[in-house]
Amino acid sequence: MTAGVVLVIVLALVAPQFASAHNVSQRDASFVESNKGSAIPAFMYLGAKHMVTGYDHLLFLVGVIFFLYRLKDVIQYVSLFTIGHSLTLLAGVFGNIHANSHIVDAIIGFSVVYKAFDNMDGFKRFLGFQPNTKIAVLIFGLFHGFGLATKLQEFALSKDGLIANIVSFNVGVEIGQCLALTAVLIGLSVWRTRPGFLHHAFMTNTLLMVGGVILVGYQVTGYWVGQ
Amino acid sequence: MASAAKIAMATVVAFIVGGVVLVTAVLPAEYGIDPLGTGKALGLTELANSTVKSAPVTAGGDTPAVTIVPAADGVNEDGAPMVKHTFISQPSRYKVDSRVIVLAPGEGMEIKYHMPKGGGLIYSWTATETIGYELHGEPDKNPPNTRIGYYESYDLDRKVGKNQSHGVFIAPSTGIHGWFWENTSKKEVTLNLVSSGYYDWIFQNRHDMETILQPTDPK
Repeated sequence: MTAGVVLVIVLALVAPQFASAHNVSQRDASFVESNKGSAIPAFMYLGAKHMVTGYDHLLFLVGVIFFLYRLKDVIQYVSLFTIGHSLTLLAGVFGNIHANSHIVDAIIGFSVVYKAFDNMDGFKRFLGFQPNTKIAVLIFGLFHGFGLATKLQEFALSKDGLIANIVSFNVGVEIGQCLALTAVLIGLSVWRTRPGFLHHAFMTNTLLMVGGVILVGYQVTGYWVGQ
Repeated sequence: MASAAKIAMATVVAFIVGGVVLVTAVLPAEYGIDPLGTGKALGLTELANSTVKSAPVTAGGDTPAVTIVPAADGVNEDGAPMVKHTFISQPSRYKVDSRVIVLAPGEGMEIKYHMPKGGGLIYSWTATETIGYELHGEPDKNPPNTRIGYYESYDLDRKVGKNQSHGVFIAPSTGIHGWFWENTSKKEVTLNLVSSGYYDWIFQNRHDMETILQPTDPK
């Protein structure tokens, strides 16, 4: 039973055909391009869709809430992540800051590796202390926000209604994050009641790290070959 | 808390497994980089190659300088030479569009066709006077690190201008491709545009209004 749950979660995490990191589809792209003026529900939908189907953000969030048992803690950490990515999403698009999306996405992949290693108690064991987890979530949140910004910037956004549309996209991102988090939390809560959670937890974080390593390699290669 | 050896082992294993998946599956499928030949064996490199490669056709401004590389590659089953890269197959039937536009002196406007990368367009436009124009395009997805409003120019003649232009165009990117015209004459100009190609919708920019038009397809 436990193995079954693990399998389902792992499949959901690593199967790329179910999710696509960062690709707002061509049809959506045409919509964004041809859209003039503010389109609040449409941009909210795009933001939510991006978050629900963006497996790099999801992998990181799974890592963050993996050992958070109390709802209060979950809310605290997720709020820090939200503050971080909202800041850079807004600053990036309004300030016309163009970060290289491969580099940003590679850092997002690294954030997954970092969090998985942290969950294995790697830092405590090898450094002798626990680096502040809240600051780490905030900092990685900033990078995730740059990732979101570069995606929006790939479209020729109409200046008309720009503010409303970007804010709507951001609100949509938070809605999508809530939806995805709820699903992950339900899965984790059920799993925690099973015996052997801690044993499988170590294994799952190893798999999480595998996912992060693949993301980093994928993006670094993309940067080199210039695609 | 797990022992140092266990954590170190798990980290090393994670990097090895991640690296193996990356090299054997992700890189072949995403970029066609296949150092071990696993992508070919599993049919994954097909995914990377499925985007339309630009055809070896070079077209230039006024001179009909078209070079089709006759890359004969063996013979077919009847013994005829196989000449490669002569066409780009398309997923659907082509569309036809024809319109007559009257431009006031000094007026400018745009018509652009939304086409997939590798989609072809055959066009003719004629005008009652010499007018300035630019054939250009905007990719749906801007290349990385480019600004809002990014576009690519294919043929620009705004100073002297022309009263007609005919050609075959192959879209270098998925996006909208077409003309900006400006009536640089002192008279009212009637512009006659006819095209057929693999587009799904038409973008018009006129009187500060951007509108989506449907092809005047006779079916």
